[in-house]
Amino acid sequence: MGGAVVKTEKTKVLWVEDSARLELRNLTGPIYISGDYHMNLAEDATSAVRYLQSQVYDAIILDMRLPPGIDDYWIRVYQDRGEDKADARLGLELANWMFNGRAKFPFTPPAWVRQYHVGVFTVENDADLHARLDELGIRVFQHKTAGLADTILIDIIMRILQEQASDRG
Amino acid sequence: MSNTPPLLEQFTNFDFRELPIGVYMTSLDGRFIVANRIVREMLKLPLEGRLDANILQYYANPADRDAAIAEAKRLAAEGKHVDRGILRLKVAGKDLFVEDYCKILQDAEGQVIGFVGCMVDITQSYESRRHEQELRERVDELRFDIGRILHANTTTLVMVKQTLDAVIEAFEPKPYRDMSVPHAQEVETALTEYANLLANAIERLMRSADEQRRLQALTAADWKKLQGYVSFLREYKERIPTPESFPATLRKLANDIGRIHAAIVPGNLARETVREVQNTAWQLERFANLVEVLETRAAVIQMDYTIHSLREFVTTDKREQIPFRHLNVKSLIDECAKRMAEYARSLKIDIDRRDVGELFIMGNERDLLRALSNLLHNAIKYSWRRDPERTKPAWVSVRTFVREKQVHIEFENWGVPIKREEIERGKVFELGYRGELSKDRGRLGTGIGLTDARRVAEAHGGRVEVESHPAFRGLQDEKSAQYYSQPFLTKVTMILPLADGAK
Repeated sequence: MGGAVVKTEKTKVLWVEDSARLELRNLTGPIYISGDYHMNLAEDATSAVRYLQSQVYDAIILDMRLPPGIDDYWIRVYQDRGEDKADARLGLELANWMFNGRAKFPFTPPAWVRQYHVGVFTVENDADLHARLDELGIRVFQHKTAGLADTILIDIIMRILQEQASDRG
Repeated sequence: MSNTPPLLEQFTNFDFRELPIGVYMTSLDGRFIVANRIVREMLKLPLEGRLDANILQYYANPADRDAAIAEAKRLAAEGKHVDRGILRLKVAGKDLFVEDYCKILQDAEGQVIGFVGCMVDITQSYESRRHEQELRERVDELRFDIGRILHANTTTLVMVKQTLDAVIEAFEPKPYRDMSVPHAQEVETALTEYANLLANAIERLMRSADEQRRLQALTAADWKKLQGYVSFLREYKERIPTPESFPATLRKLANDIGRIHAAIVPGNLARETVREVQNTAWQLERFANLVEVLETRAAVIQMDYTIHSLREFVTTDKREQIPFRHLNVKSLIDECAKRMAEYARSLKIDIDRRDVGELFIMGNERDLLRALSNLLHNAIKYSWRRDPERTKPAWVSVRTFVREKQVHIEFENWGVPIKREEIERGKVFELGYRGELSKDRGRLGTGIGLTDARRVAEAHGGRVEVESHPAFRGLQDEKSAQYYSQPFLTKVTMILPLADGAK
């Protein structure tokens, strides 16, 4: 990792992940214990949009395979894509909304969000996904595998903060 | 338009080259004598005028022509002609598959002088068929691979489960007598107790010496950390927003405290307070670990079943078909309950069997056992505890009855809802589909169980019915955000014809 990131208050993190409370619950321990982070969990696309519209975050950790939640728009997208999280890739659609969303989406993306706020944390690791993330300008990517340390979320957050620091010069 | 029908005589000089099918005539050595517009289009020849082309130049493999001629001669000797022979040609570098209908032309002495025939471009359907064949072969390969991998994974899961059992046994004395996952409320009560004991112990440690001795024992940073951990232990429910993460987070915290304890320089702090921190940290870590191991064990048992049923499903049509025979429904359900017993125990769920009489059906035992086990597995998996005090185990009920010469095998559970539209649109029966609410509390699944159950039922002349509705009358407004948060009664019923002459 590069230069130190100076923090004066808690880093605000949004983790968009439908398995956060269960299969991946061991990953949140270091975040809560450290006391350095204020973390919200969004377990579906609808909740993610609501959090992003109501708060400003320093880091957004984004899964690709997400359920739609209760919003009609996301339910429709999900149904149109065969009602399968892997095919629907609503996480990618959320990133699209954040960065290309003004023309295409029925709701406005937050003005504060930039590509350097986002890190993708997913089991997917195919060339198509990387191409799409490149197009969107998202540079922080972490493949979700069984061999990761339980501090992986902190690592991703640090990489996102580094990205911001270098982007801002 | 004229009302007078055209006289057929006007067609006596019809030019057969106008037929909407490829018509051709070649010499014995393959030169085109005649080729109508369709053949010319197929072979990208000039559409008008004299032809200067040889069919031989279009054969993908020139040796095929000799074989085709030999076949045409053989058929001619039998008074037949080539009917739907498939020729693989090459036009502008691309494959062209044609269906050929052809007969030989002979001179007065009976010598073969050429061929006349029709050809139809079947490239598209031929390619589709070939593609289908390739896909079928690929599916067969995959099926073999998947079966093998799943088998290997099952073996690994057996190893994992046995190891977890041994680990749980090593947690003696343990607060729970059996190996089932304790209820969240019980876990929370115990965690709070252990967390408070640890916080008290750390506070006593901090008061046990003056500042100078404290700083000789540990760094200022470590003391600050410990101070922060005391607050965390006291307020863990506020600091950790998701109760599911309580054990894992407190385990991590206790482990950190253990590491700080190990760094204490001896001789500076009261020995008994140091030991108390060590013991209480160990107790909290141990308890949280036990809960995590019990949950992991339950997940492994569930995964084992999921993999087993996936393997069964994938390899179904590769097995030899066994003729249907008389089967006792009670014995089938006994066997399913036996298969599910450990899984049900791991989740503290009882299987309540009602009205299971001596009824007989005709069927394939293996397929029916798989399908019924899937339905029972789902009923267990999607159950919540029913009593508000959460002292009694949850239960699922299995009931059989006969209505209009049909055996109804009904599995009922109380817990996770299935959305109305998912039932009405038949989504729940689609292969690979998992109900929108089915991931509630991390439940694993493949989306195969109901699909397979319906296929099996239909193969036995039966069907599967699903209904799911709120368990209480209170909240009936489907648009309410809370509607699908309440417990639902879900019934899945396999309906099969009663065997003739059955009891």
